[in-house]
Amino acid sequence: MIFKKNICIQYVGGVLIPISCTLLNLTLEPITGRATFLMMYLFGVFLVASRWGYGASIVASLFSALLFDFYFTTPVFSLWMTNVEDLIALIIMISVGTITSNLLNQAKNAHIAKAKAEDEALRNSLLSAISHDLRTPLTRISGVATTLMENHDHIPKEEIQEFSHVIFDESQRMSELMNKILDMAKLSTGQISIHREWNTLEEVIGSALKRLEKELSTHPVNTYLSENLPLIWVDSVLFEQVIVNLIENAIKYTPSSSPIDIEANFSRQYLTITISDYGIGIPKSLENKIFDKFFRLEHETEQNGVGLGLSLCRSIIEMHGGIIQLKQVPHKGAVFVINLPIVQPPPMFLDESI
Amino acid sequence: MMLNNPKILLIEDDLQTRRFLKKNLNTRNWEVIDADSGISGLAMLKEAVPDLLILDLGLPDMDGITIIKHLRQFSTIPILVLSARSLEQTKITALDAGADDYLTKPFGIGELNSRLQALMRRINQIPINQDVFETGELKVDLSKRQVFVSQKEIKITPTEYHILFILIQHAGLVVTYKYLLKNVWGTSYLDNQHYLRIYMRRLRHKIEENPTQPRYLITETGVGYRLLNNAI
Repeated sequence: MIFKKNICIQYVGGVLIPISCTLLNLTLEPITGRATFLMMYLFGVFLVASRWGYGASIVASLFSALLFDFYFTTPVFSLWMTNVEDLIALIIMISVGTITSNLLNQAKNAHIAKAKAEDEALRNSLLSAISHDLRTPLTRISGVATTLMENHDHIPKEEIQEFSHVIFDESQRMSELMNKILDMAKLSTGQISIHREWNTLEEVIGSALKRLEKELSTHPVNTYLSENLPLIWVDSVLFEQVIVNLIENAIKYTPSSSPIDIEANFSRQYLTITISDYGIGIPKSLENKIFDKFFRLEHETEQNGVGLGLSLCRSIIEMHGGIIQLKQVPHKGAVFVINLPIVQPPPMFLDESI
Repeated sequence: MMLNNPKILLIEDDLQTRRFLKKNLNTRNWEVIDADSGISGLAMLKEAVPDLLILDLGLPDMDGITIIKHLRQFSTIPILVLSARSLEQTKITALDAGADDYLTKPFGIGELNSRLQALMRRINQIPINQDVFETGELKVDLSKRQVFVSQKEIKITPTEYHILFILIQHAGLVVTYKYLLKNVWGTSYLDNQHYLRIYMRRLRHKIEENPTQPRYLITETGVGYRLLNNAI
């Protein structure tokens, strides 16, 4: 039903636009001539073609021709034509109208096809990444479990402990991976509605660090937050994920006991958060690529994840109207800078002094 | 203390999860009875009269929230809810419906045990009888309304104290933003979450050694706050 209704609107448009053009032409008649009339009709045809597609534009083109013939060729108010010049003009108009509508139509289709192909490529790489990255921990888990099942009598106690740790760590990894994949899927289908609330940056960073407590036992974290940072207007869950992903990256690509710095300061318009490590860094040439979905550095193994972390960061930061960039800083490794626009918080009536 | 081991009812549809939880909880001196569906769970609640309920929110036959609401009509036993991550709204709905705390899957058994203990402490002791709350370097004298960090008294405003007091009453358990806003500022302030954030920042600056890596006042992102009562 809806489809039919749409088609109906398209064709009505294809008729109404030439009529409007005719009315305009009639008003302008004292000061213009045939060339302007024809251009006006062609303009109408383009408008219809770009708005309602090929079919409607053909209708508009033919209808324009009829109206032109009726009102602006001699004899006026008849479909009869005595002037050869008028006839030629009419034929040219119909041809130009149909050809350009056709071109527009093709361009549109090509655009849709390209988007579809990109979608398809994304889906394929997602599927292969998921199956690969889920299979690796699964292989380890089932391998270790089989060992435990079949040799449980002669495995030393320490080894049982070690095997259990493997199972636990791998399942944690899978769980984290699942979360990332689900977040990405929700973000890219627009299913996530962003749930903004007032928060303090300290709190978001605090809970991100808490979540990574175990992983951070090998990396000292230095936080430098300037005093009186403004409140942030963010989706706390998603924003925390950004911080978690960036810190996780720093942990992954630096040797143990290498520190991680988190800094924040603000100007009139922006709150700037910088997360940096002291590893080998990321070359400038990859500055934009690293934020692409499924991008991995060449030497990376399956240990390093699917390549969704940074692309998630970018999607989330952009949802908040901010930007995330890689910065090259001497004596430092990878440095990520987030700029978040400052939003004025509602007024507060504090009943007590600090 | 109770004479017998506390009895837990576990409502969870997955057999393996039930088995592993039962086994682990048994070794930590909890008595566990279990049900694999909402309907049988509700029946057992009435028959077996457990001390505590662990409820999986993703049951096939009944919505977890419905079970909580139904249960709350006739029982006040502590409820610990198991849920998936990234479902903050569900957690909040469950807490509002009457659940006492939640745990996000997958979780460690140690984490589960400390939540259960926090819940038991809450039903076993009446907070008013307790004069001093102590965890790590933090000490709060509830009768004199004094707060100490490393034996040094900290100046604290009435509002800050009020927030801290509510968290102490629920020590170890999550307290939602809504609950805090309602009880500290009143119902008309439910939309003013920024008040709470700012006071929390101040409180952390006074109590915590490093406010961005808090030991005591933990954020439960998207849900609320938790005062850790076993801070080392």
